[in-house]
Amino acid sequence: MISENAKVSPSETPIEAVELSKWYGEVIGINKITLSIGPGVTGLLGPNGAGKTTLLNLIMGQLKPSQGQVRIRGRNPWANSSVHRFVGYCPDVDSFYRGMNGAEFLRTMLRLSGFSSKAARKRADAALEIVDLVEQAKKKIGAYSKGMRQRLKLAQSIAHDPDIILLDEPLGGMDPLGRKSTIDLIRRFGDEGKTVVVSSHILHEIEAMTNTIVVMNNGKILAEGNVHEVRELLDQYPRKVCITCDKPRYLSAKLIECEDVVSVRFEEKDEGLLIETIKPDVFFSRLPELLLSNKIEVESLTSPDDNVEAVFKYLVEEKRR
Amino acid sequence: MSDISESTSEASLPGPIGNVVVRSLCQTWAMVRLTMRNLVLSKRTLLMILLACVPIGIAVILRNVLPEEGRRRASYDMFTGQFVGLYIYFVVILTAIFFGASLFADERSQRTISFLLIRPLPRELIVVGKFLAYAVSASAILVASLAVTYTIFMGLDRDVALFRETVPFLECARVVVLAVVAYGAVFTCFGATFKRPVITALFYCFIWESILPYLPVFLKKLTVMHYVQSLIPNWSAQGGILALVAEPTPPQRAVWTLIGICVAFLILTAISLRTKEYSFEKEKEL
Repeated sequence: MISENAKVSPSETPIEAVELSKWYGEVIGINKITLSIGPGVTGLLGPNGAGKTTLLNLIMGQLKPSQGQVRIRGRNPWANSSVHRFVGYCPDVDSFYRGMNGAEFLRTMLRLSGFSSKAARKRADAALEIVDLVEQAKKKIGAYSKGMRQRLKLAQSIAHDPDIILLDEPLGGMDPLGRKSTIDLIRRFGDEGKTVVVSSHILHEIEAMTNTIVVMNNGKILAEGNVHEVRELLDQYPRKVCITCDKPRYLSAKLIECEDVVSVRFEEKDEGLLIETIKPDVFFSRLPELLLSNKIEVESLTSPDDNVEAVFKYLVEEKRR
Repeated sequence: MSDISESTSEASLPGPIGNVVVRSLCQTWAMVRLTMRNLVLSKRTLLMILLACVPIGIAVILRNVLPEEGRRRASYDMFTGQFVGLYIYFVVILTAIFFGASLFADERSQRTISFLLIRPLPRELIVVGKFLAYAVSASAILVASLAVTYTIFMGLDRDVALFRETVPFLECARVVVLAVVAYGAVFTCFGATFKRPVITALFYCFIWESILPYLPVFLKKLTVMHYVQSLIPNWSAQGGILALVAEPTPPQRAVWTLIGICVAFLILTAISLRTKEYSFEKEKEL
């Protein structure tokens, strides 16, 4: 669905950065990044403060590069509203105009984008349908859940039918169902030939959307390439799993007998366990049975390594070598 | 979520308006509507209405204490002189400060400005749309307030045909509208440029413009107030400090200067909006 407003020369690289740097006073936001992003979904992976949002804002023209350059379809995006005809941006900012409902918000955004009232209504309805917010369209945004607000932001980024879509942490605050739908949607955009850049600090989220990732930390690109290779690198290192349950001591005794479990530590108040495993796949496949057979009630199960810190740690160490 | 190809088949979804001029007008109108909507929902609007009621209240009190004899003449002088001064010095300036300065400052503090700056919407149109919304709503409220005040002063005297007396009212209304527009443009620029625009605006009005009567004459012409005062019908008759030291600018020239000030500051606002980075990830990430 490449519309009239998204007509650009296909030969031009969608997104290109050369020696791109951004400083905030003495703090480095982005440090000499050179990259080229083509059609399909690209995951921008990095912990908080890695420079993902800075990079997206530079691509979107919200920030002026301190050094180097960035181009969207060969055009300089800095304060250049014309590039926004074919670029959609879902910012990480969770703020909306007071008193509006979802449909009004989308229609207003489309009117501001230069669509007639009738066209804005049609496009807003279509976008609401895409993000599955039709039933909530007349509800005030103030009454939306975080996940619904995320979907509304996603809707405003695609409503004008851009062929480049930048999504800053689009899955934040979404429930599992919403995440799955959004992941499917992003994948479909990629399959349609759109250029989609998705930032996240959670590896498995990105993994579910794309194979192509750019790993960032401290304003630099640490690695670019296939997400599975990065995941394999990660699996060579013990994976941390945090479990909070009603029988932590009993569970720890059971777990320590397993060959793949390297260590078990008690967390604060002895309610949580921090487990290190060298075979996460084996660990996770065995865990449900272990819990059920021993009637252990789990309050929470998280994997600190699922956020991408472990990858960075590995990559940073690799670079040092 | 539905299938995109079904939901967004290109054939059924119209594109943006083709004609650039029509599109720009529609975008500006959308900006005006959005800003008006925000103004209506803002608590500041209630404050502005209360502020506009202050002269009405004072007029009611004064009207009842004026002596019967010469009531009409006194009313006339008071309205065209002190009362317009009260509007300009108090109501208009505070309205311009709190509304003009907040046009961009509110968007920034509520972080909604991101949604404006990521649209294919020239930043100049954002400035024009926002300013038009402010100018129309502020002028409407203040002129309505002025009309009520005028009626209180003049209307009680049944011998005076109100319609014959509309000329001074229209002159005063013109001064109020021009002051709203000129001060509003200055403070809109402050709002887009400075982090604390209200403080800067208060400093400008109540420090900079207040000390000018004691400074050389040519400096007075660097203020908005000089040109506004030059238009107040009965101003020189009061023998204010400014009237003693600086000759008022001829009305026609004062009008054009105020319009010029408005245009110049709106251009500066657009430049500021173009060159300023509005991003929140500094706070988020760093």
